[in-house]
Amino acid sequence: MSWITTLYATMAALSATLGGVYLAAWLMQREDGSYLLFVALAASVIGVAGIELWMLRAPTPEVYGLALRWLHVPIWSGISVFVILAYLRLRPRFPLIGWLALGLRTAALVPNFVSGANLNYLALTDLDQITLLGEPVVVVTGVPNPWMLMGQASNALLFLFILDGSISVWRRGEGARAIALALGLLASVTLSATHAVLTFWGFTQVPVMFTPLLLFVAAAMGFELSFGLLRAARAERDVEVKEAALSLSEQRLSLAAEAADAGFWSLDGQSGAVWATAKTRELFGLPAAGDLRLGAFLDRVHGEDRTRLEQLIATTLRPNERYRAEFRVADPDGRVRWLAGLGRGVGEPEGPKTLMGVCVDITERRAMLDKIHRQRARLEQVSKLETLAELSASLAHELNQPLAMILTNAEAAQALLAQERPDLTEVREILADIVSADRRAADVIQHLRALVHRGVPQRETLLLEDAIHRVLGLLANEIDDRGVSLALRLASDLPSVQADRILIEQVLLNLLDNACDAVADNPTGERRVSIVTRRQADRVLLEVTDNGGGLSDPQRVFDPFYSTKPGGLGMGMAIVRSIVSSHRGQVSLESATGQGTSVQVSLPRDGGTS
Amino acid sequence: MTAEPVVYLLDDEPDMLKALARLLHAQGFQAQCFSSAREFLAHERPDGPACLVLDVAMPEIDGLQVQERLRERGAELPIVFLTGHGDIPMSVCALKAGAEDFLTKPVNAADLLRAVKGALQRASDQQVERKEMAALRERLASLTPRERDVLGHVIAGKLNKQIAADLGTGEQNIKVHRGRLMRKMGVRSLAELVRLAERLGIPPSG
Repeated sequence: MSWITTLYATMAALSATLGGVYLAAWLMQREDGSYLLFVALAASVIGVAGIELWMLRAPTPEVYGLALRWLHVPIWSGISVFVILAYLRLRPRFPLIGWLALGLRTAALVPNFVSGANLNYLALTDLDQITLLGEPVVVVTGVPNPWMLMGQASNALLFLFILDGSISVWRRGEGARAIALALGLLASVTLSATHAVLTFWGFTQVPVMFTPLLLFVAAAMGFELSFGLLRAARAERDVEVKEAALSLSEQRLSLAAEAADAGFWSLDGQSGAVWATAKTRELFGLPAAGDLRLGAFLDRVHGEDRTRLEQLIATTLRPNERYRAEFRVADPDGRVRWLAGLGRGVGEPEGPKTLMGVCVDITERRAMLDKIHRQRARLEQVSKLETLAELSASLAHELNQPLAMILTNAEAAQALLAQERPDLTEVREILADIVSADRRAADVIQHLRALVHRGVPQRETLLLEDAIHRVLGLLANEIDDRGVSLALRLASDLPSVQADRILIEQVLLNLLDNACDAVADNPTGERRVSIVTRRQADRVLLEVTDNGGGLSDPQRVFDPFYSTKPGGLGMGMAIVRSIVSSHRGQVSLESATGQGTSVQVSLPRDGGTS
Repeated sequence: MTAEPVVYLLDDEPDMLKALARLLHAQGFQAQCFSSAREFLAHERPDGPACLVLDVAMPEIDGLQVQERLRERGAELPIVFLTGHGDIPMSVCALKAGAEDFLTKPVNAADLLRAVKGALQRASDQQVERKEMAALRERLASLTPRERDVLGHVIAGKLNKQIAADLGTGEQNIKVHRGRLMRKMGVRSLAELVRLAERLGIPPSG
């Protein structure tokens, strides 16, 4: 085997390999058309190499002419690829030049097949054999075809086009990949065009050998390929690094979740499928494994909270929306717990929507808050009573002094007048002192009135139902703890009242407290308390009934300091009556031993006349 | 009874003091007013039945402290307390310390008069008792040492023979001493003598 054959065979094999790789790449990734361009380029190089080998071994000038004529086909296809590649990759400033070059080259195929022997020669006159690199090769002489200028003009334009592209690449400061392609194309085109001019116009006696010059293009193709491989390897490594980071951040997340005792979940907005951690499933009382949908979660949510939560999720199911909610969840065994949920919508505005969230159990926190709340309310009540006690003590003291004086003076006067000759001057003085002591007492009362006046009830429009719910909010746990079952029958059309919210809540608190105490001795399951509201003409009625032991002396319960409870202060019902009267209302009580107690409070409705 | 009984009134409230004084005057009592504890404690009290109507709540020295000071001085003065508000622990305290009565204001005339009369009665009883005791002590002092010795043995319930043996003298002698001391002490029976000795705090001998 000679060097020439080896060289051409190597070039063809190299191109075939590259072409094969690009073809395989294109088959796997069809959207990238540039792979197909490289395949076409490789095919063109193979074509050029094969036909040139045929020419170098041509036995007669006719065969040589025919081979050269066919050589223009892979040349045309190669140049087509050059132009398209240059246009796509180098993005020259004047693409028209490229299209002109391609047009000229295509047009030149006509004279190639029609005039003379081929585009280059009108006729081939002589055929010599010379030895090149130890192998005999053919050199020809002939009459140049003037149409050849078309091809060479095309070459010149192509050179300009690629030069322009190369300059553009350089100016844009693009990477090695574009520069390699530009240099490869530029070198091949320059050398090939020069070689063609020198050979075909008969300036030199050398064999036509374009193939070696196309090595640069093959190199560019190889570089492109290696670049792609490199990129793939780097991408793979990136993926590994990112996966490692992801797993680390997942571990951190799960640690945080564990520390916060929080459950994580995410909802696919389109399918409604939910991914949830074991903790989330546990919090919602759902099975630890198996597919879940949003509905399964919502089924567990307390009926009163469900609609609200559903709406929240629906509105949050868009990017960057957030929600925060506290809601109740009922276990399959009926245990109610409070959860706090925090969620955020993620995804592109137009893309698939996902809601990611976290939830924690706040039952204990709620219970604690409730307790604090209740204790505070109790404290307020106690402090009110203490103030009352202090007030009455000081009132008693202030009034006692003048009253004692009046009594003593009056009795002294009686004793004086009982004498045979009463000292009337003395009696007059006594009466004057009595008057002044009485004034003093009146002053004390006046002072007290001013004091009480400052704490006059704040009237506001109040719905009894709201007050009831607020008080129940305070007492809910206590009622529960004491095993009392509470029935509410609240009229839906109840008018509002003008009342002091705090005071009315105090009334409710006292009544409920008494009712719960009254049923405490009943067996579990038999402790019933009901709250009923009703409208009655211009009045609003509230009834708190219990099925407790009843009272032996119902009317005394309104007396201050009368109590039926051990350790009771005996102020509860007195306060109820005083508050209700201050609202122009009435309170009545029905009770019989062993038959429970019912307290009825009636208040004038808002805007009512009574 | 030698002197007119006096009711001392002690209250920091002048109007109240005046009213109380009027009431007592109208009932025929002699009342003397003091508006501070200091003033009252500095006052030289004449001999004679007296009682104190004392307000508990007073600035500086309160009613209970006045009671305490009087007791320290050994003054036997029945006290009727007056208080603005019935404070049970305080009244218990006062009554334990020998208060005659504990009344809450406003006090009605009947209660006050009853308490004051009771207190004065006690005061005069105390005075009678004091006088009797003084007389008894005088009689006791008139006994000779021998008669004093015999007295101790007599109230121990011993027979003349036993006493004579104990004192180392004759039974006849004892009999004479015994008759003399009975006469000196102004008693006619042994029972009377024993009671007297008891009041005087003389221990039986032997």
